[in-house]
Amino acid sequence: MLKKLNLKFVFVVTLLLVLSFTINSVQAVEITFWSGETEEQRQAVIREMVSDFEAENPDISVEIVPIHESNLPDQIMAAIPAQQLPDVIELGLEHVLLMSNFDLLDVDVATDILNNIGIDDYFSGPIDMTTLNGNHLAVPMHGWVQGIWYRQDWFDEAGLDAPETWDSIAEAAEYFYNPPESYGIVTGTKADHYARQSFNQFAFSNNAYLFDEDGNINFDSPEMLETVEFYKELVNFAPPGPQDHRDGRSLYMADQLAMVVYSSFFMGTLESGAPELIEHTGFAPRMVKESEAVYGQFQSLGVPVTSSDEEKEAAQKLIEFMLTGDNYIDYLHMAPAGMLPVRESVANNPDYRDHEILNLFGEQHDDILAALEVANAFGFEHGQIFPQIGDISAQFVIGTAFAEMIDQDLSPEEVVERIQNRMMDIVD
Amino acid sequence: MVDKFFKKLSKKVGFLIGIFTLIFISGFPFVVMFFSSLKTERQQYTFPPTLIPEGGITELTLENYINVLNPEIFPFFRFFGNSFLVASISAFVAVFLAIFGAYSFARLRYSGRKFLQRSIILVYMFGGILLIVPLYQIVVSVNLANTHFALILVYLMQVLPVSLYMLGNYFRSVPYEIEEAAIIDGCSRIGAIFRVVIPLSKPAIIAVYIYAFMISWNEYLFASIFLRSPSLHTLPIGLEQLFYTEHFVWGRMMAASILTALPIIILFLGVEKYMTEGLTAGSLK
Amino acid sequence: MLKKIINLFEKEKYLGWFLIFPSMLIIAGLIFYPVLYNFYLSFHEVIIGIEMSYVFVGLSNYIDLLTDSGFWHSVYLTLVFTFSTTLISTIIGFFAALLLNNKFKGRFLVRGIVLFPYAAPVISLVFAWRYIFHPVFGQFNYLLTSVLGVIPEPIAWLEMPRYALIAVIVFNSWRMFPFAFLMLIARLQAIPQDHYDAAKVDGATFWQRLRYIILPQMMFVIATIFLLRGIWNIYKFGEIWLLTRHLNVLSVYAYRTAFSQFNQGMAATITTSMFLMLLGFIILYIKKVLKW
Repeated sequence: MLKKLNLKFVFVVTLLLVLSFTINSVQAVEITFWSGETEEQRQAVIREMVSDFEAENPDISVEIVPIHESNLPDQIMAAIPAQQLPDVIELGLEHVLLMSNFDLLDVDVATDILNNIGIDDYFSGPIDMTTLNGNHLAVPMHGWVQGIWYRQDWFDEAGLDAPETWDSIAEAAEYFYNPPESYGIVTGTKADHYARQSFNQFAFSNNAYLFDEDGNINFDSPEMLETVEFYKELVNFAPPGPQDHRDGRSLYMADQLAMVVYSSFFMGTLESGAPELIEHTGFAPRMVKESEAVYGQFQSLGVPVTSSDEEKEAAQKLIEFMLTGDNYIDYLHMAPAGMLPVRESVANNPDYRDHEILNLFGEQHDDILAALEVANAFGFEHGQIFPQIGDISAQFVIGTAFAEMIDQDLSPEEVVERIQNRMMDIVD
Repeated sequence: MVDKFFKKLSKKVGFLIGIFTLIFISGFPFVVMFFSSLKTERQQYTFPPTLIPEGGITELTLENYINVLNPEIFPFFRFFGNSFLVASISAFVAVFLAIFGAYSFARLRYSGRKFLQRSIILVYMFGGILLIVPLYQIVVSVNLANTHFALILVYLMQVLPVSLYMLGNYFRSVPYEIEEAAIIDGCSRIGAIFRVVIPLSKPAIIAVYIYAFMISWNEYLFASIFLRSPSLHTLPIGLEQLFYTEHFVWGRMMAASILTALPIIILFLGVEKYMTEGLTAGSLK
Repeated sequence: MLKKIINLFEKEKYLGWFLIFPSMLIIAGLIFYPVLYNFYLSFHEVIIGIEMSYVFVGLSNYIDLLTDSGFWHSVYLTLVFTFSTTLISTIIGFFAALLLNNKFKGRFLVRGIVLFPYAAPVISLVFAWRYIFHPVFGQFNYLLTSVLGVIPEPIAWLEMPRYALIAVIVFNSWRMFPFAFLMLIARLQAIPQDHYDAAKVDGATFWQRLRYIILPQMMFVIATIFLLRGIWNIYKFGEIWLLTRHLNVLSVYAYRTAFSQFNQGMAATITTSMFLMLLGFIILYIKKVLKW
């Protein structure tokens, strides 16, 4: 008797277990938000903001999914056939273009949001870089600029100029290359976004552009070749093997690196990882050779067309909630100087400016904000946007080629040829 | 005489060196993991590499463990809970199905039995990477992507063949007379399974459970492709994400690694006896 | 009513099928069916859009694959990886088995430690090993440059494809040797003591004993290890991918094709080819071993 009961009991329990997985309660409008902030500490800030939002909007519930920017193209491509694109998605500039190439972004919602927030308040850079053929693809959220962070104290002691020109960069890199005690400079040489971004600044400072005015890939220009030669030379003063910003960051904080190409995020990084280095650290956002170049990037929020009208409405409310008032300032303060405001009124707002880390970096912060206005990137050249940059950056063409350069000891000509050919393949 | 003594001594010394080398080879990475988990970030970057930071043992810190268990920094318990949930359910169901299936192979006669038994061995020729593309498409098309349920099914698939084999072997080594006696006494077949076979096969059943649990706990490929929401992620996925975050810290990775390995190592060592018994029983025939 | 059903169950045949049915359903549905579906997919191109669509392309995936040098390079890497790892892990495992075949105090403890590399989850191990392989601070480079003087400068083992193979072999040999050890020691312990005693009477040295008694009896187990590890290592994914992204063995090559390039038709072609090569290997190997 007991055995038969046992069997039934086990069946019932198993059935219950299975059912408990499949039961879903659908009450509120549920939207999904793909956030690029994977840091748990930042996620905590976002979660709190979102629960405030849900309190104000009890008929909306938001699921936050943190996705690192390097995974984003893969995740987007996987979500498309699975019909699992989110309702709000955080996108770097190139990803905005990637999605727009598939016609996946709802431009009407974006325009509506921008008008509600006040489109004239925005700096022109971020707006121009997210507008294609007159359509606003996404809502700019925050931006950062990149430059060379360097050990001011080492430079002063050695009597070296700040690393703003190619010559001064090269001189310092060689001077400080003394493995394993110290290395000269870390630039991006792995197959990731960082390599492209880091290289981009060198290229623009030499007037080397990715596209020509007609939108053709123009990587095999003499200016670009010269830049690749210089970039390759700098690799001699870096640690062995391809490098990324994390390698550079840890080395710098371990007191063993003179220069690292890094975004303005570095301020917050230093403050939490090696605060004693703050007073010894200088920042050079403007690189000079033939012209002055500042590399910058913006994050935007987009709403995919695949969502239902209700979901889009909820998404719109969420975006407007996060990008206005105190919420926006709290958001930006998550990464001081790493998340720069894209609206003038906020940049001038004392509530925003009065933050202990921003205060630590005082005048550099103003420099950085000024640099944001003139920041630029591959694909946004000659006053136009070339949407092919979306696909190109998703495949890490530049970074891959540099990693190969190190692994196979390629010449600069070979590197340029590879990049040119691969980019042409992608664009066709 | 002296000759013999030296021979014996050198044999003993050689043996000891061998043992210590073996221990060193097996354990060194774990020692590195252990000490790294107790260092601050600055202390990780020393050249030449040292296990104990400058300043000695007093410089070691538990901050990495505290940070890694802090839900604000790393939702360790969430990942742990997910892994535990998925692993224990798959292991339980696997044992359940394998007991019945193995009994069927070992004790019952029916046409096609031999064929089924042979075909199970065939699955050894297929691996995860061969199955993931079609399974991914199937799972997506029936809307089961991003569920633990799909993952549990996959883990069942991975462990059932071995479990059936292991238990089948073991059951065959259990003397049939006892079951016979029970059946003659009026017990049903299923009753016999519960009353006779299972109690007598405890070591093998535990071994199967542990094996199934281990496979699910450690699995990476299917979990990474099937699970999209971080609320569902298992430990291997969570740990990998931790590595790629902006503020990744070596010490935390090591602490998280140790915490992830600990349950398995404890389980494994605790029942290693049972496992080897379960694996080799029946083959002694 | 219930009694009737239960009487039915008593019929051995039905019971037999009933008990094995759920397991067979899972195995057939999640293994055999996907394998066939995979084969079917290999003749198609899968287009990712809002809806997935399938275009029949016949053999063109296979032709593209066989003419792709990347594929053959991948095959080369896989073969070198599989063979080297199996060889080295078997040697270490054999060494361990010989040592642990003797009774000594603490034997159980040592045996436990020896199993750690195999029992621990891969995800737990890869970070420690990444640290060990670190180009500036890692112990591996330190050992090779400063201690042994084998290489002049440290190498970024995990970032450079040409060196990643070595790093992955080192890691996996370490990880797999306990498996070889377990199989070897089980066989080793089954060698009857009187063989050794007879050898002692004949005055045999350790090496002679090894060569004439132990090795012949172990050959079959060793051959089995090579077969099993050969099969399983070809499919190994996590043990490579989690350590480095720069080694394109077949499993990684297939994974990238499926989930980075989203060319799932081609990925199915790659894995089907892997399977066919494996099948060929198994058949050849069993013939060779059976003739042993």
